[in-house]
Amino acid sequence: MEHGIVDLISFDQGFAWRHWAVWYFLLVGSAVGALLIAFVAAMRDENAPQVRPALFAAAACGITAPFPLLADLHQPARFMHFYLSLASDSIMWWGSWFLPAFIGGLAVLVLLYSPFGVRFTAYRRLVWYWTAAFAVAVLAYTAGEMAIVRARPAWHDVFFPVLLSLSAFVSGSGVVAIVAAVRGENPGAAPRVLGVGSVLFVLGVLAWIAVGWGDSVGSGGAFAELATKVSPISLLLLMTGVCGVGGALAALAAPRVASLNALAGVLAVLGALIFRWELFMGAQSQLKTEDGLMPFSLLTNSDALAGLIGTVGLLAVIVAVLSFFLVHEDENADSHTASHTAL
Amino acid sequence: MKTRRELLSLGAFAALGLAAAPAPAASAQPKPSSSGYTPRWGMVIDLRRCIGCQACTVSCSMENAVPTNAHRTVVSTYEIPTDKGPGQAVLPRLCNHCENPPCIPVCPVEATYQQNDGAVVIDAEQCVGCGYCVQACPYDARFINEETGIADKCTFCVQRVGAGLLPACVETCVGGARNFGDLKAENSHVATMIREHKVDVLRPHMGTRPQVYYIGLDGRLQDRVEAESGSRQLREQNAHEEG
Repeated sequence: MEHGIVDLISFDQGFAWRHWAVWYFLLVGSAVGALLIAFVAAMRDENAPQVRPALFAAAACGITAPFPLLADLHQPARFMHFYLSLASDSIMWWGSWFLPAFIGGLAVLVLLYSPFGVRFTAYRRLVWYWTAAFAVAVLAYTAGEMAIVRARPAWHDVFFPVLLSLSAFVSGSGVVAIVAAVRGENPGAAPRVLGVGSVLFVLGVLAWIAVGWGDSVGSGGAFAELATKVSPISLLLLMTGVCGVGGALAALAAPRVASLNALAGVLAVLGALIFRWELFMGAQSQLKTEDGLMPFSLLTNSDALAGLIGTVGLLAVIVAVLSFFLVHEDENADSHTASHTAL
Repeated sequence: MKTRRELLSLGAFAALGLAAAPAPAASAQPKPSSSGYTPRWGMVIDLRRCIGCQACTVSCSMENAVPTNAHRTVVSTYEIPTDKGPGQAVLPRLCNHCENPPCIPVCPVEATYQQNDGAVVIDAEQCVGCGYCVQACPYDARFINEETGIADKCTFCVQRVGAGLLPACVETCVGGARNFGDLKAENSHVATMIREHKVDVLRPHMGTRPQVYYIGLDGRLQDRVEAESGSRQLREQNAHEEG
């Protein structure tokens, strides 16, 4: 290994993916995780009480997700070009079809579970299959489109898609736990998925880094390099671990205590957000042609902060709208009875 | 009587003209299309002749209206240890117009493509600015142009080559280090250089088959350069202090 090279004139091109990508991947990952929890519950009993909060969580995150994605395009008004092209070699192009199919399925499920959809319950199972299939497709494309990028060593190996998917399940179950706690509904399997998922996720991250640590191989090696060279990343990594362990403890200790579930949910979402920030912004700070790093900032710039506030604001509006459609289980039972009485 | 400024300007133009001489303009001339022949454009950079003046960087920016915070080409300059103490090494960087360009298959809207002559270009009307190609390029040769909102990169100055001119960076290379021409034509200047010299490409293990060749490339600069300190570190310190 050579030492002592000094760069006299160097140049950095800047980040191509901005903080919006972090919000998008967090939201869409959470939506997929929550939807799959709802799907498993619905396959046993479509009217099971735990289906409703999981579907609510999936719909809230899923319907919000495309907005930060659009914001991350530098030419958002041209999004129709995705649908006017036939770039079948591009995973992102496939994703542009999977995403609306998934969100469309979510929207239809919301309508079918709303007081207005009681007459169409026969179609529910078909829509569940459709939405679950595209949820898996969305998970595959989001992890796959990054894992194939050979030029980004922190993304390019088998650990990366596995960890990103695991983290999606953890954050998805976290959102379900929060929704169930806030609405006073049954969280179903969400605390268990959250607890077990968090343990697996933390172990997975440790294994990923341990495998790459020695000789900087694979994405774990690149990530270990980031963690050792950039102090914010090592801090973030520690925070991810604390969130993961904390979330697991809170979820597994008392899965029926709403306040602990909510705490576990918040920790799970926070851990997944931080993990994505490390992976997306941290990996982009890693130069491809030089063994250096671009200056890496946390949530210190006003643009990123505005993005966070905007995304959370939009999520709040969508949650408020969804509350009209996915009413509380008790109210739904009342309206169901009323509807049958009227008939 | 000419002023000193005018004389200096004349001198500079004369120098540019002389500097352009080693790169034969004829080698850039596309063959008549009626022959059905399509060249394969490529570049050979003779690092022994590069003085790191950044004339190529400036001329590229002027020719292609590159924003001030980005570059399509730049001459990375390093201090490297040698047997005789610290020495200087230069490395002009640009798009490698690879035979196997990883930026093309990832594009979700078919905006980036390779012309028959090998130049990898971007359809400015089609690009959505998703930045996926920027991630996929292992040479940091692409960027998002903040003024246009689309991906941007070296095109081998297609607008100039199409008119029978050399790319701006080649035209203005003071030392005649940058050589552009048809790699397919056996007697072209670039093909002869490749035949007669030991040439290297950047990051060959990435499997992209770059078509920008270097003569006299220090092995320590071929892959990720392990620069321990320097201008980037200073920038980071400044950003940290300002932040």
